[in-house]
Amino acid sequence: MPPDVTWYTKLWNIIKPLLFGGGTKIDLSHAKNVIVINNPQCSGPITVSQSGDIVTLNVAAFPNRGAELAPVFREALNDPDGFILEESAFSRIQSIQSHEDSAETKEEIDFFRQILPPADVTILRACLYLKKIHDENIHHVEVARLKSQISRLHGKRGTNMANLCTAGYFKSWIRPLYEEFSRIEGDKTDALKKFQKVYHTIVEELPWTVFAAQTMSEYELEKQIAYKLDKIKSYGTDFLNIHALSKSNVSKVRSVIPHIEEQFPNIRTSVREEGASIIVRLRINPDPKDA
Amino acid sequence: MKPTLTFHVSAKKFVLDVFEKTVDQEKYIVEKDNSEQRVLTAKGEEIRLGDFAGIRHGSGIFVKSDITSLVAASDFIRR
Repeated sequence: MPPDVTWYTKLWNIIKPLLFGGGTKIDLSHAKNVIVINNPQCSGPITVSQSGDIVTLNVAAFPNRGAELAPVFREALNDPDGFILEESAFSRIQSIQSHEDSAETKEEIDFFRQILPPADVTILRACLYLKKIHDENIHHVEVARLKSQISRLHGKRGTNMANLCTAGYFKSWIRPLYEEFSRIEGDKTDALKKFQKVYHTIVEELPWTVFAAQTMSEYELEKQIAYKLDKIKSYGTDFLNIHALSKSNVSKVRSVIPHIEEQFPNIRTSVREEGASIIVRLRINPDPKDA
Repeated sequence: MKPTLTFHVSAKKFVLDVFEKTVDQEKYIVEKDNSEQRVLTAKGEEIRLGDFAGIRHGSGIFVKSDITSLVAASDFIRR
């Protein structure tokens, strides 16, 4: 066989004789995806979808349990862009790519790539994808699963970034914060240095937000809100936003707020509810003309 | 047309076998000829069978199934 024969041509040559004994002509040139399965319950080694674009290889039904396929698969990965991926991981990657190909997401990622530490850019991209799933408002279990992966892998910083991103703070607060530093400082390096210091505090400490979590008791939630209200002036802001998603978290926030209002008589409370989510804004010492 | 190559979760061990890898007692993926040597992701992390999502370019770059790893891998997978 000439050396420039592709791995998939070699694969077709291996499998063709096994397709109906090789007597039937099947055009494999339209195949877009080769799926490898291992199903001893299924006797056929090869299935080709009606449209010819999916070829399923059941290694359990191959004469040598698929050993003859191994060199071809190894060769497939010699391509610089070669890969073999578990089906759901591949679908997820395609979904991520399609999301990031949209002009709005692309612009957002390109912007943050210039101002965030490189490790945070990958976390942010994962968080933006999480936000997309979150905003579709249909895959609640998936949202919880993705968020827990980000938290498990990136700790408190990851959890905070996921919460900030799904609540829209990267776009509505963190980006304008950099733009403001950039406007004031003039010099980009100085602006970036100052921004990153504040940004670090934001993602590590969430100075102006509290996210009610399932694992948090009412007491813990109240304690966290009171702690942040005490410190809020030192962060240079005068408000604290309390976010809750899901019925139980919303009800936790509802029962805690009256206690907070007792402890901090100088706060003004405003509430925004949407579906099973609530945002309570507590503003300290509001300007009398705004009251 | 170059087809994409994917596998069902049932073929995980077959794929590892193709690339001469196996799994140690703690379920980490290791070299078949040296069970002391655990394989690594592009970030240098060891990888358990349960987190294995695939391999890209050559037989050395293992991909984990969590969302951040897939975001990072998406840069190397053709669109």
